Amino acid sequence: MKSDALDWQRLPLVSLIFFFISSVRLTVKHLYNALPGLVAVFVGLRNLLHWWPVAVGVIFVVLLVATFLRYRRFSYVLEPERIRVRQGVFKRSELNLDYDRIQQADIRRPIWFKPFKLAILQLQSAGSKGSEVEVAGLDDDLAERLQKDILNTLKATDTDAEAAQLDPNAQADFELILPRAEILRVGLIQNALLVVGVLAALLFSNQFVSEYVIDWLESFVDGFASLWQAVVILVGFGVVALILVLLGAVLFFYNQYYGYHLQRNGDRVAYKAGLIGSLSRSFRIPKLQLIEFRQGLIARILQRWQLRILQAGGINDKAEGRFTIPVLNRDNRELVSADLQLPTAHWNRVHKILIPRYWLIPSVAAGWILNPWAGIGVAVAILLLRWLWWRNFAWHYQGGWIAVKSGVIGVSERWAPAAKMQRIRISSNPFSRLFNLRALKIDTAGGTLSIPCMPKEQAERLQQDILALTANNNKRWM
Amino acid sequence: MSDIQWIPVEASYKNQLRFGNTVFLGCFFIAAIAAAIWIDKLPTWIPIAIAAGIFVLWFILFVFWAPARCRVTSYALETDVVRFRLGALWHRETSVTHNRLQHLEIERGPVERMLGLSRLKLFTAGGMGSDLTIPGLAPAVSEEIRNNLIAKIRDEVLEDASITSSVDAAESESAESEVNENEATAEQTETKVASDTNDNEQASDSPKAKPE
Repeated sequence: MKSDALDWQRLPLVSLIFFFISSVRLTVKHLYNALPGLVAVFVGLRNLLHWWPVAVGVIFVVLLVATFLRYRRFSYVLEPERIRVRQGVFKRSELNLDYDRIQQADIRRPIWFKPFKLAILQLQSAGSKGSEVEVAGLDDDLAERLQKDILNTLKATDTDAEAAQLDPNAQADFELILPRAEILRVGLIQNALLVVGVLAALLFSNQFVSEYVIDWLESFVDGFASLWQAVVILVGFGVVALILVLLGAVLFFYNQYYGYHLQRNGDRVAYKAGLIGSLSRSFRIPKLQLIEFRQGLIARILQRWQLRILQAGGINDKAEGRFTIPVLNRDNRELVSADLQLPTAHWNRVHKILIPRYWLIPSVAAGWILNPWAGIGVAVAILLLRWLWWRNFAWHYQGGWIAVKSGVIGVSERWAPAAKMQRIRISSNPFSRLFNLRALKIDTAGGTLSIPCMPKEQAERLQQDILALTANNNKRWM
Repeated sequence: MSDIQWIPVEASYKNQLRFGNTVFLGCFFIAAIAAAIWIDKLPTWIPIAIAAGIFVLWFILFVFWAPARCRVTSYALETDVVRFRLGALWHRETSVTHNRLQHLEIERGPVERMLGLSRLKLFTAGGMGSDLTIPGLAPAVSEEIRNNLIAKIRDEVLEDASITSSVDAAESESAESEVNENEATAEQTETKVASDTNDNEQASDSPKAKPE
């Protein structure tokens, strides 16, 4: 390695903004984690509290110094096959990432970079969390070219053939543009009710806060002539708050996915979206490990789906880092499925014995602790839910793809190319052996598919088929 | 399935299981006895009953569970697949194909060294806990399995075409140039494996330069 000969590049001065924002974010995270300690300080050093402007000032200065140092210590080299990044103030590190290991390449253009025509390039590898590279402040065109080049270097020797296809002016092999009316639906189908639930849970998680809320509620109700009046007003407030949350979600996702445009050229798939800032995300079809169609309650009513494509690694990563198609109607879903070469689904149900699972113990417990009627009620409710679950659950194995569909009210469908399987597990317990049933679990690099309660022969045949398919397939799976 | 040739693990594996149980339950047993002696506010019969329960559990595990689990625990080495099954009542059978293995590891804890056992770990790319661990192997056996697996993996040729791909035409065009490339990578991995197999115990091998 002629490490000395490498041309280490620095970022433009504007990138200081990026480092400042990232430092602020880190500080807030650390402060949040240190909250119990801070409370102790608050209580113990009460008479020193009037010094708080000094403390804030010190933190601010430290932030500025850290920002500058982080900026100074960041440098990168772009080589034909890999990128090297040096960073870190106290703990210096040099990270090498080969382009053909990259699972997904993002270009973010936040609003504060837009006037300078700069972009953030973010590369994800298959390693565990935190193995991603972020280069902030690249020239817009350079970033775009890199994103394309990087995803084409998988086969460095025969890029010429593909390069011809990837002429930017050439017609894309597949294209999907989401109209604004569809993007307005994205916020609706995100299950905004969940946000309300989380807020409520947050309000009542802390005893201090919940007491305060209850006190406030009581005094609020006392202020009215009758209880009914207060209830009507409160419900009104609740509805308004719900509408506000929903509106917020709609606007948030409208901004995020505005002008959604997906293109596939050869093996490279990319989408571009965003109103205030913008994001362009791309990956190569060979890296695909798992496809997930999701549909929440509202999405089901609106007959819309959301698609997520998962690559290897980062199984615990947040959803927003994934390659997403935020809203798909029936026609678009069919188009996308056809382009991904998904076969037509042949769903198989599992054994009905799945229904009474997790049923007896909660019912008996409820009947014993409360009263027998509560027990019966719980039993009926659980049976109903379980029946819904069983009715929605199905699996598919045909055309080289394996799929599992599940959910009670919302439904999620997960598809994986069977030959990309990493590990397959078949399990049984005394009870399932009594009914000659087996559970199958298929691990892929993008996630796990589980099928419970299959007849023994079927499960073993499926296991055998998938193993043979994988063992005889020496094509690249990653 | 009858045609799978299951190879059981060493019989002393049940002692390893017994040791683990004894240590785990022993802590609770001692805690319960201690509670019976020092906590006066508690009626003495409660901790005594708990301690007795723990003892009965330990006895059942020691006499019935450990041998049963040891009997079921076995592995099968086929041409393309490694299978492993375990469990006394809850049976699990895990299979991994050779072409999905990422790296192999042999581990020996203090108890395992005492009993002359070792553990072979097969890692795949399936994320957390997606590895397959075969416990209760004689060190010589686990090393032999590992070396055989590495040899098999080394001989494997990875085609340049991908399982999922939207480009069909380009694949056949560039097929010829790919062959040379494959040979080059095969040679590279060979030298890597050769240097890895020299260290024996606690060794971690990367059998294959796979894209990650």
